[in-house]
Amino acid sequence: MSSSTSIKMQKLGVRFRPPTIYLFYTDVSTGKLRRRTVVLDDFTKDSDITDYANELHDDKTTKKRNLFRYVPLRRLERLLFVVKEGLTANISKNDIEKKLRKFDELDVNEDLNKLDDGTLKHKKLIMNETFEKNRVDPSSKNFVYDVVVDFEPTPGEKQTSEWDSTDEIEEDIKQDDDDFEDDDDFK
Amino acid sequence: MSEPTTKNNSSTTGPLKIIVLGDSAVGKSKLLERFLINSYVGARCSTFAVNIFKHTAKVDGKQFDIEFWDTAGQEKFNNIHHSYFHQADACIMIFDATRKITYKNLDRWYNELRDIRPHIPCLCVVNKVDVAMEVTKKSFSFPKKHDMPLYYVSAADGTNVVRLFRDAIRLANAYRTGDTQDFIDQVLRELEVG
Repeated sequence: MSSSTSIKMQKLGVRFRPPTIYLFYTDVSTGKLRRRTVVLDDFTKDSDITDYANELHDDKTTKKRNLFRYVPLRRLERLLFVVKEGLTANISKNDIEKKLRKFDELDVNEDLNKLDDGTLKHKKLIMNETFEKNRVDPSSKNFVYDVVVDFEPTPGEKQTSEWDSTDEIEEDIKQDDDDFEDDDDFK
Repeated sequence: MSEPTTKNNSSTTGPLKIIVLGDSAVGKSKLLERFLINSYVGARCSTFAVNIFKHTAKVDGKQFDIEFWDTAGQEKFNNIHHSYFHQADACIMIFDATRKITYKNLDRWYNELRDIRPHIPCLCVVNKVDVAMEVTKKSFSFPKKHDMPLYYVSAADGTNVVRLFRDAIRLANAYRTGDTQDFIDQVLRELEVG
């Protein structure tokens, strides 16, 4: 049996100084609760959170000893976000929580073309959660390579998307004799 | 519609070049990955800000060599390098079913493309329909205005992805051989009849 099945992650914790992550897990073979302490020596206020999370998650140097591979990337990212905020002097727990909520948000009206690389990667990671949830890949029993779906319009024509509407309204109007303008007005 | 006058700037031999365009995070790479999921991808050439996937496909009984070009993060410069468009035979324009701004930005992408490739066939794609099924009941004026077929697709569950790329290959080849409009009409008809 590979070691990957003998570990069950329980909870995660952080410490700000020095930046540290605690991983609590159960070693299934012995039933013992264990704690791994990982000090992030090179983590600073300027570290790119998403990149750093990826590095921890996919760290090849520690191979099977790497516990971070059991932690979803998004959770690692959020954890590192907290660590990073914690490096700011005198920030309250409340403020960190508030900032974290903001960090998790996806603003559908935001123009992502204007973001820097790190922020864009982070937004993609949030979106990727939905993608993974709905993903049907070749390992799935339901996988079909060529999925053809014709979306039949509901009786009648398809409705025009509201995304096409503009603030300007252009319409045909009936000419009413009463308020028909007098030529004199233009003289 | 005018005939493509491209004898001098479209190569007549060599692989078909199909490019994808659209905002950051609309799923351009995910769609390509989904289409190529079962294939051996000959060479994945990654240079700064461009990914090129070489692929061979059989469509309508004919074998085609194709190069798919993916932007890989040039979107943020607001200005894609000309070489990206150079000698392209077809363009797939993608927006995100959950983000209106990506639809609005298609005009900008279209203008950038047409500056350099005024006549190549384009296919319009709304991706992520798995999370926004309601868009499949809607029609969109952008593809209509520019005479493009519209595909409702999902890179996650695979809906209409293969159909999209096969049509793109057909159109790219039709452009090469000089009868684009007939093919666009045919593809539009097929999509309407369903």
